[in-house]
Amino acid sequence: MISSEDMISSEEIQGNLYGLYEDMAASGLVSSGTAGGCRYIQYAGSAWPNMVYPGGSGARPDIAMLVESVKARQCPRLVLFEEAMVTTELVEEMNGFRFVPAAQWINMTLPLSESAGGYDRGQLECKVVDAGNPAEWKDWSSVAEEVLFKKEKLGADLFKYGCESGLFKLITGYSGDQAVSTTLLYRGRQAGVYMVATLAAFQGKGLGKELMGFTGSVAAAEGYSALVLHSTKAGLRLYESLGYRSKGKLLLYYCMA
Amino acid sequence: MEKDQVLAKVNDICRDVFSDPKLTITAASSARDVASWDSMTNLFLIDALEQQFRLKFKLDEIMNAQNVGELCDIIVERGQI
Repeated sequence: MISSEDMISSEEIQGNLYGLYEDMAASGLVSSGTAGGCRYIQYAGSAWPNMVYPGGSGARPDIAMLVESVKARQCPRLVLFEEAMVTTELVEEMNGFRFVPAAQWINMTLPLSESAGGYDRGQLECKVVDAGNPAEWKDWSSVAEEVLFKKEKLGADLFKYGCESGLFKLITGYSGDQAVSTTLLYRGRQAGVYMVATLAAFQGKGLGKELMGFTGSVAAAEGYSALVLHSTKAGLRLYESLGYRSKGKLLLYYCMA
Repeated sequence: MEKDQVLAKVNDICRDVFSDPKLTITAASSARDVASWDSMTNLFLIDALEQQFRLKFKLDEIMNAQNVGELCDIIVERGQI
């Protein structure tokens, strides 16, 4: 286990996400392979995971080969690059193949010893849920699909596999009987927090902080001493207020070739 | 191809991309008017428009379009139904 935030580099935070994709690829439920020196993962019929991402070697991507794979093998058109990879030369090459910037994911980490006061039950009842339980899966997935995937469906079998194999824990925040927020805690080399979502009507009320605190408490109980995640610009203020530190970023492009 | 025809088809595509069957798009509509219209869904929209109207937007057109009307103007000029 990593014991200090200072020991967690941007490469490790990024590597944790790649590890999640690789673990999903190993499930046999999704398509995966290489494209232009990058890795890809694709799950037809599910909003996640569908991504081309660096293989972790730090090698310069071969854009022409990547685009060929996108066209010939219908690889995902969403492509992640590490910030250091995106040189002026690479951008010029990407422009030639109509890569359009789509988003930035800021790598962040938080030592659990510094998490804002830990977890105290407040407005939410937070629960670790099981994707194999239809009612709990419906609660969790409906919030994640609504907030993160524009109501596109997530593949239940992959999340069931993740829960059963112990790769991750799904966490739902309930306001009364209503599921209103979610996280996915990935039990990788680092404790990664993904799929952080709160229904629009419940945002701005401190519920995100509460669920993040609960998620941190679950990770701490498993022996992790830090959390890592990737924040969009929209989420940055929340995570900074919780004490997370930025460590470089991933750049997301959409290939329109 | 008239702009009104294009706008009607763009409206159907927007309903699909933004997962809102009741959405009504006008030439003045932009990301400010649709909650789920962000940088990512904007690219899904452009992709869907390119396939529907069999054209390729230029990168600066994708990055700089201010509203649906500007996209429709480009489609009227270069697109096909």
